Amino acid sequence: MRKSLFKILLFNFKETKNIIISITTTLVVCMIFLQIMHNPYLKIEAHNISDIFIIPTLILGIFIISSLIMTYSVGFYMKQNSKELGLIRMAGYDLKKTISYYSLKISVIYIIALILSIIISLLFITFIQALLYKLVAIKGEILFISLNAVNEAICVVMLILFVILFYQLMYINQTSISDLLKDNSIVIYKRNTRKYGLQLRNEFYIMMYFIGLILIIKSEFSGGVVIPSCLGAIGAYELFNKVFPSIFKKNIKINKTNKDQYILYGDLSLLMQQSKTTVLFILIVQIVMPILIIVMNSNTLAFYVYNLAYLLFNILLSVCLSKWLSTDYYNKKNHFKKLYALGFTKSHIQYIVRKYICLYYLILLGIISIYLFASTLAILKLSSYYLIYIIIIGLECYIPFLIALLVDERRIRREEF
Amino acid sequence: MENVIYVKGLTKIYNKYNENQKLAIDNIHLEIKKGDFVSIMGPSGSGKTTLLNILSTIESYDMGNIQILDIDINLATEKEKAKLREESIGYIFQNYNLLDSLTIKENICFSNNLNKKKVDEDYLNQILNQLNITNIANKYPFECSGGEQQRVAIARVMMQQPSIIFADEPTGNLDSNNSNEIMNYLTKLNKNSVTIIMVTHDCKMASFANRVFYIADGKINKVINKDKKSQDEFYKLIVNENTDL
Repeated sequence: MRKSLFKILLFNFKETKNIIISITTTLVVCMIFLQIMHNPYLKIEAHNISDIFIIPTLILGIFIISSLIMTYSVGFYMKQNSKELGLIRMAGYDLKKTISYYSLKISVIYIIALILSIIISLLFITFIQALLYKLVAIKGEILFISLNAVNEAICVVMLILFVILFYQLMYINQTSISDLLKDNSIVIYKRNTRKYGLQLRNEFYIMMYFIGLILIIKSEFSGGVVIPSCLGAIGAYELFNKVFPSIFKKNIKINKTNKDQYILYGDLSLLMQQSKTTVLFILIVQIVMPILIIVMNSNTLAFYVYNLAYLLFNILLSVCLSKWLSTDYYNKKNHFKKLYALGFTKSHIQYIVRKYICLYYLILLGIISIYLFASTLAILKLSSYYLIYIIIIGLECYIPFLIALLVDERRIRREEF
Repeated sequence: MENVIYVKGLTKIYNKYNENQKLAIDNIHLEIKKGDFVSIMGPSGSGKTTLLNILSTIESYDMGNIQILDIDINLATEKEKAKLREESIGYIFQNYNLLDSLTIKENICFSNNLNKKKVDEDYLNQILNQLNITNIANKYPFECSGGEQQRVAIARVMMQQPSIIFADEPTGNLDSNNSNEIMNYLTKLNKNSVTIIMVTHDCKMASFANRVFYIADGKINKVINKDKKSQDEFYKLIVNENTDL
């Protein structure tokens, strides 16, 4: 069994590589963040009661986003391996044996990712610590490594990974073998068709988004701004999830004859509605974190640590979004084959996909940019000195997402369907 | 002769909980004896493959009783069904379902390797020779033709030595020469008391069986037996029945 398992892992290197990259990124981010938290030279002193909760909230946030990445990565990996899963169940493997088979496989993948992440994070930790010591003028050990931080990161990510693997295998076990053997028909998430909660009009969400903006611009820039920014984050989420898709659907009805636009806006609105969870996290982080960073500028160490946290959040979220888009592209392969059969060329289909992925990023970054701009106006009222902070925050926000966009665009160019 | 498969009141509904419900299998009763060679024929969407998948325990059903080798599938646990698939059931797929990452030899021994059973090299070589695939044993599936891949799929099932083989259009993707060859292998296996249940569209292929079930709208409409007829006579009878239906 082991020989076949290792051979399958090695042969399907492309699939294995994807999950290794995701786990490595998650491990590196967690190790760096926990290392900074455990570094005695970089201890942030709490000035008031709310400061006590910020660091645990950030750690929790990193772990939640890590879980999201693991969910998408394992789900995507299972999708790619549905035939193998069907064949091993056909060969007489029950759930227990299937779990042990995949646990062994994921363990091998995890060990490879762990080795890589230890090497990468050692380099980054040294660099980040040296930079932070210099910025806050502390004499600390540059090569300080907290084993507790490393252990915590390894254990938490491993726990998240295996819990998600077990959960997904339990869920996949409900899929019949015949469905598993038909590629692309594995069910990982149950589509929730129930409608609950208030169903509000689009205008309400647009209003919510702009009220958040106005409150930020009008108010004195302090910790209290976080509340209107949360309101704005919810408005932004609904704008992305409901308002824009409904506008696109209306646009489709008007431009019925244009088949390119029909596919482009149809797929884009579906994509925007389906990527709910990832987008919610992205918007909360992008709207709340910059405000938190600027508010904390009086405490130099906290200011830099929150900046680092913001950058790490963005790296994780961009990986998460990229993974989500990969899964979505994989799910739509049959849809693309149908378009191909209807007379579209492969390059034309890829052009449409690239276009709606770019539009997706553009809308997302556009919604965020308006908020960043409002925050900039509010901050510049206090002092023009803060402009450099805004530029740094902007770079920390845009660079990871622009890299993710380039990676996705390049992947689609090379992908076959 | 003893029943290897006994089915009573089998019903399967697709999309049970939404508006697009489809009755795929409608109250089917059937009995298949040890050493039988059964063909299931019928138009597209009539429920042939669904029936085959349910009988081979790779798909669930909604109502009815199924007994396979005296095991009541309604009462069987997931583990018991897995054991049944491991030891007694072989499945030949129309699209072969070989793993691209393993060589032909490794694909054939896949089930043995997974279940930590020692591979009998003599038996493996005998199968490779018999199916004329010795020369491709170390190649990968994507390096082989459709006919070769289908023979590998049969070899994989033979290696497993099951007592029942389910075949879903095993010749669906092959030319007539390769199709006849495949059917000859299946007939040889059947002569060794292996029960074969095969889905096919092709009257010629169906004539290799000794019983043909006609299925339409999820119901078995007609059963014809070969009895003492020659293969040609049986073929003509199948063609006639097919035209009538």
